[in-house]
Amino acid sequence: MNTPSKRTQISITVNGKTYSRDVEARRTLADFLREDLGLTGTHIGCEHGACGACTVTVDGMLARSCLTLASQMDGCEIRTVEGLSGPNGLHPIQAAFKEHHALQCGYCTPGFLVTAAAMLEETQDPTEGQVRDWLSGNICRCTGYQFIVDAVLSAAETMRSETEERDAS
Amino acid sequence: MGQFGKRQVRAEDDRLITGRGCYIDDITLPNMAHIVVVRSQAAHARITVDTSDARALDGVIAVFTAEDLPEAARILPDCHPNPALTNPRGPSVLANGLVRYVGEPIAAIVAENRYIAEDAAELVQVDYETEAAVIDLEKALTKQSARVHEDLPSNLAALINIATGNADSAFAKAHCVVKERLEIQRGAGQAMETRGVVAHWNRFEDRMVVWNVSQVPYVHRTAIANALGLPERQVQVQNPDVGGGFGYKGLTYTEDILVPVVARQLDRPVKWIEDRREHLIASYHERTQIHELEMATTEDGTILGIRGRFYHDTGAYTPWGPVVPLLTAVNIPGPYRVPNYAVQCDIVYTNTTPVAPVRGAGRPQACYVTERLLDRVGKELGIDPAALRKRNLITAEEYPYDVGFISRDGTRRTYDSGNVPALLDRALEILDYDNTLADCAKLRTEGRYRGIGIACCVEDTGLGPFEEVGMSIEADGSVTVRMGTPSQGQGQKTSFAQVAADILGVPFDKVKVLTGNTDLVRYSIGTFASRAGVVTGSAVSIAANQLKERACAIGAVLLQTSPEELDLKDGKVVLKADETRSIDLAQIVHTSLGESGNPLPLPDFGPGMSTTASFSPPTNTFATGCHAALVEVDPATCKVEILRYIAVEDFGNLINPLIVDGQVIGGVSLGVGNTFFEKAVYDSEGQILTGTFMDYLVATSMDVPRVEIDHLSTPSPLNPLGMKGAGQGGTIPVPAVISSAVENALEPFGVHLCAVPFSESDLFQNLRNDDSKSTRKSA
Ligand code: FES
Ligand code: FES
Repeated sequence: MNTPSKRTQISITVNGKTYSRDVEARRTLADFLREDLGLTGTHIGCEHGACGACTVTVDGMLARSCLTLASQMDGCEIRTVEGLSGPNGLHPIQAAFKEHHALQCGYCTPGFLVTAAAMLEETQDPTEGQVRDWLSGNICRCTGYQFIVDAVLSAAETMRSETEERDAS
Repeated sequence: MGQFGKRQVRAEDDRLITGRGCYIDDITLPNMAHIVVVRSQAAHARITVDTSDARALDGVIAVFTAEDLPEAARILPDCHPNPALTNPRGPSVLANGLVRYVGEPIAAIVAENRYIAEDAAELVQVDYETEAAVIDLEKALTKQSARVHEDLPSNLAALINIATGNADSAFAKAHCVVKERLEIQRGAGQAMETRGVVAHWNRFEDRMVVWNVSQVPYVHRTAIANALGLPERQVQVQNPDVGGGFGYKGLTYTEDILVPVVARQLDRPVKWIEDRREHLIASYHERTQIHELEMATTEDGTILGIRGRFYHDTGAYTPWGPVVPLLTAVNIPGPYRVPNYAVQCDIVYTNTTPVAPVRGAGRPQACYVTERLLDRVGKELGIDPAALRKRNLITAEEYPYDVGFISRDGTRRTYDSGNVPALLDRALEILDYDNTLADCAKLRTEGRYRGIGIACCVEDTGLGPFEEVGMSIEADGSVTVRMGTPSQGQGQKTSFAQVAADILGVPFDKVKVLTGNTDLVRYSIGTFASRAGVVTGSAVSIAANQLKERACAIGAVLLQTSPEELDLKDGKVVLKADETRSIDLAQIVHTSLGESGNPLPLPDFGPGMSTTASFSPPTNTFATGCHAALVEVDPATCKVEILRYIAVEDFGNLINPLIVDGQVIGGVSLGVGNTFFEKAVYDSEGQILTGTFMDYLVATSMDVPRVEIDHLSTPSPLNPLGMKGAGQGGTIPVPAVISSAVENALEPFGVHLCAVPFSESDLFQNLRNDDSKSTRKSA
């Protein structure tokens, strides 16, 4: 039999909080987040990197937590859907998802939110085509994407006007 | 008033957008064990199973095979017994000596965690003594074919005949007869959340508590009670948040029985979560049919009749009776006048994953074949496709319209209301049909190939027998609605709160809708067949009206007036003539409950403001729709671009158009997948080749066009709110519409589309084939 019990010690920062944990070498980041840290907002849709439901950011880069091992994450900073909203309430992308009915069952939603939030950090004024391109690695079976695209475009606008206001004041 | 018909944002969303939902895999119980199911790797084989190595692995608690299950838990119940299915065969919970499709459950490993269970699953040794596999739907009915079920004389599960008028004599008189062989291939629902079950024995209540992702928790309650030999009151089934349903989560699978049985036997909480590969190979599929149909018309294209035969692949078993092919057979006439009709359906067993309804449920196939035949007639007679459809559509004045045969629910199939010609007109108006046609013609001279497709459909929705609702006004004047139809994302907690809020005159956010727990109401059927909105929604309105009546009666005593003078508004009972005279609903509740130790102050009304109501529709109500698309095809690459997609729907009165629009667009998205990508593929041995999302392709944000939606409403006379179901209308016409548009775009090349899905390379081959005018498969 193989040696599943091989373990490593990691220190990992998730949504601003640092955890030190001893993990089995083969444990996925998704299982680590969901089961060891209780952050069940990250969902598992395929476990083979194709659906995007498990998307998180690792040091600011989008990553599929189902294909990432927790043991590789020593010293990394992770952001999950639970880390999107701040002390001032919902992230504009979350508010826009609600406003535009961009979710039905909500299972794919965390992956879309994390992806869209990362996109909006990089691209403040995206076109519809760019939004569709960014989201093309995330599968949603309920919404047909249209309201998700609308939500992202609208969140981009909100964030631009917030930045303008901040700059003006 | 004001909530009914409002684009209200959803009450469900706050939890789900912040990662605070609770789906089945988010449930963790102390001391919980984990199950992994060992599945067949052969399509048809005798098996012997050796589990000794698996049992010996550290961390493995138990391994179950068929003989470890109690007698009553060995065969899955038939969820929809139907006498039309003459040779039904249900799956075993765990295969007993014989497997009939790749993915069929053979054994269950119970271990301390999922990782260990997966390790142990690999140690189970299954010896397969393979038998010939029946894969090809048509060859399955030949004399030489192997048989999926040896005890049956052939692979025929049933023959269904649906007829009205006299098709043969109509064909004899016809001016034009077209004939087609049309193929619809196998697809699947593939919700983003796979299936899962958690079960434990609640020692305090002395009963089995089960969480699962079912659309029919009450059906499961019965099935689990039977399997465990318990009365139903000792079984509670709950649904947490569920990540999509799409029909095929509406029946009882192996694990729905297995997990509670294991939890009972081991006296430990147990969890099973399906992975995507299992979901792709073992959660039930739909759609495979081959049609050989003819349509007869007069010289001006008026339909005289449709006749022929189609073959429906039911896979290895019939877990949902004959519902899917029956729905196809009764839906082929669609919203058109078809006075003479004779169609036979052969329901055929194959060594593939069993078939159950997937969003659309037999109707996309029906719509596809009828619309393809109409396109042939149009070409043959040189009639514009829109005009041809208009000529044959049942007019508004003809409703209620007797289709001429018995429907799926055993009643005479009668379209209760509708006006499809108006839907067609509206779709053409949005498309700017005449100008768009002219544009297409002009562009064609420049070597650009655009085409238009149009299709109309009906959908039987809102079927019986009933739904039950409980409703209370709480001590603080807020309202609680309890119901049995669970949600898989449809937003019931929002829509039904809107219905209750209006009638009870309370703000939307004062109504809390509870569902997903068989303790909430005593009986329920479930969420499928576009029925929850219509049937549960109607029950909500009845219950709310009962409470309104009681509140006004009590208010009348307190305000010393008659109930007719009163109304409910802003959380109060108000005097219509002078709204300053009012009583809070909280006060009404308080009065109706009385004081501890004293007699009820108003004994005539009984204690409290709580009620139950049910609604039983007399028969289905029929939703209708007309979709149109404009596409451009590059003949060099065969890339298809959907430039416009228009959906004009008649779902009767809409509670929440925002939610309904979401249903339409989501439905179209599945339809786009059904048209271009979604295909479960088997090789000739019955190995399934589409076991990942890299092989089984679904529509992404790059594929689904923006959908332009409009609603025209003919309220249904069959329920108090005039509603029709909206869950599947988006999906049904899409393959028909896009096929039509692509064929129209490529008309100069004589491309002839007879199968869905078709990929760009299928189209490429079709385009390059010299005898492309002949009828043949494109896929
Ligand atoms: S679960 Fe990670 S991509 Fe699907
Ligand atoms: S909202 Fe259900 S999968 Fe996207």
